[in-house]
Amino acid sequence: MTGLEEKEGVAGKVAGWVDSRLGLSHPLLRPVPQYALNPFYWLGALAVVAFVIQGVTGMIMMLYYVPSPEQAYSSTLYIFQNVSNGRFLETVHLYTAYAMIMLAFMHMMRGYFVSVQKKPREVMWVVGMLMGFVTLGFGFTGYLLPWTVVSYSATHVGVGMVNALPQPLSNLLNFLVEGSSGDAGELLRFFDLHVVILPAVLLVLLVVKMYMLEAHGVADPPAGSTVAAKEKTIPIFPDVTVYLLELSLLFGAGMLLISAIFPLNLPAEYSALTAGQATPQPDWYFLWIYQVLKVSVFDVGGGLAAALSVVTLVFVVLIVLPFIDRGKARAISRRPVYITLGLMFVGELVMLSYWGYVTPGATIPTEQAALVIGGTALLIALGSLAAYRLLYWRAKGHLETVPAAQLPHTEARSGLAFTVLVAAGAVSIGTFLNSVIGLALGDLSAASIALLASSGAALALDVLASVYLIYRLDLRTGGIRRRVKALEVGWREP
Amino acid sequence: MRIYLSLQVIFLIALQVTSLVVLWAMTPLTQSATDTFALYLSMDLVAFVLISYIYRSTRMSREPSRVWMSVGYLALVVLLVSNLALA
Repeated sequence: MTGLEEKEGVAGKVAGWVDSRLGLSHPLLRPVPQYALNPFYWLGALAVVAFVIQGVTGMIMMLYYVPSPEQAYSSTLYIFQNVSNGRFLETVHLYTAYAMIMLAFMHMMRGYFVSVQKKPREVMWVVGMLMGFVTLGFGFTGYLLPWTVVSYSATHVGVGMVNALPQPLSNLLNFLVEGSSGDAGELLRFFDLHVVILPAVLLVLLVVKMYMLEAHGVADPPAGSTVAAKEKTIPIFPDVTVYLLELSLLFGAGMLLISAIFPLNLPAEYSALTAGQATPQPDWYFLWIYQVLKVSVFDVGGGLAAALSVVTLVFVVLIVLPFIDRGKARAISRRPVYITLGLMFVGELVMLSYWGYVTPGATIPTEQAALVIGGTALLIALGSLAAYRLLYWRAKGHLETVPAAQLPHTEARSGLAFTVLVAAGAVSIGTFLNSVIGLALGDLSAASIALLASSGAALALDVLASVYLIYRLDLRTGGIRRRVKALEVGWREP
Repeated sequence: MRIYLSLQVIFLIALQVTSLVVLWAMTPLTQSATDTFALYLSMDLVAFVLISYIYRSTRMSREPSRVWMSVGYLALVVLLVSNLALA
């Protein structure tokens, strides 16, 4: 695409003038394939737009806000009542923060489902995850600033968790978020983190990620792309820039309207008197962690550390994901296990968050938690199994020449057996893990030992039954033996 | 076609200027005034999106999609009617 100087019309002339002065049509960024003109490719960019809106609204609020326990609430109230559009500003700031977290999450999950994290973009994924943590950090630190009874009590649940972490992490985080000068020091540190340190870290990570994006380019669509599709590119300026501008303005208009329709109400100020009135409840993006902490198995001594270990494990797995999922297949149809795991992750997050929202402050019985978490996973697994079966059945209709009449009964039996085994496996694994955690935390009753033994036996039986099913299936086709080399050890050749 | 698109752009710019004047003249301290402010600002942004879309489409030698243009104008009408209802 040539520069803009040759274009006709007023808009073309204006763009040409700007381009000739600023050199925008000769940018450092490479052109992008035309298939990338799709909103799903720009979820991360929209999260950055949300960050910019937050920066602008935050800077205006910073002119009035005073980060001290005595004045934090009153200065926030002043913005609400006396500043032109003050309440609207606060609402836009909050809802854009929500949108930023949601967009970052959608960006991550979309990337996972279409395999953008695979070679050579592993480090980009890690940097993106770090940006996600910083985004959550914005939410955590910003929540305390209005100094309401709700924000104070919820934030202190989080600060309390820091003490349960292993050393030296606990001391380091304590120093960062709490300091040693009580509420005043804590609020000041949260404010500094929110307006200086975290934005600076996010900007540095953004530059690093953009650099890597420029090095690797936009990822191919999951189903692969032809050379012709890759070669059909459009320049960053003005086409992609204008497209992104359209998306950003629509996003901005949406945020404005939502903020006008659902204006924010400021809860009561935090004080020693009001402290007991609120049930500690974090904002929605931390509700799933809060719900895990509320499970009764973690109520005993050391339970908090165990619960935090579970949550930490989730985050660690997310970070190192590109180094676990190293298969070359990128198409959704060829990654049934990872797609199912991804769907389970999203399903569990949504379920735990909603459950946390409707049960504020309530302790969750362990059996109930195992049933609901296991049940959700099972439902998603069965749904995914059904979807993939349908997919393969349709594909097989095109690919195989075996008469369909020979297959239905045996396939139905195998499918049913597989479903039962997955269900039994999910229940026995859940019960087994539950018993192990209970024993590790000191519950040495005969009932829990019996539960451990029975769930272990059920799990072993399930594994044996699965091996037998595989053996039976392989006797008929020999397909598994051909594909899974490890199974050939000790396998008698026909 | 070009004249038809140019007329649309002129209309959208006029709409933007009008809403900007209203925005500039406001001192929104009440919730109702804030709602009016948000609606006019949204109108401004949607009008700008339509102008950008027309510009991008003509630059890529394509006719702007009638569906998207209709959705955009419908959004503008809804915002304007909401504003009038608030007033």
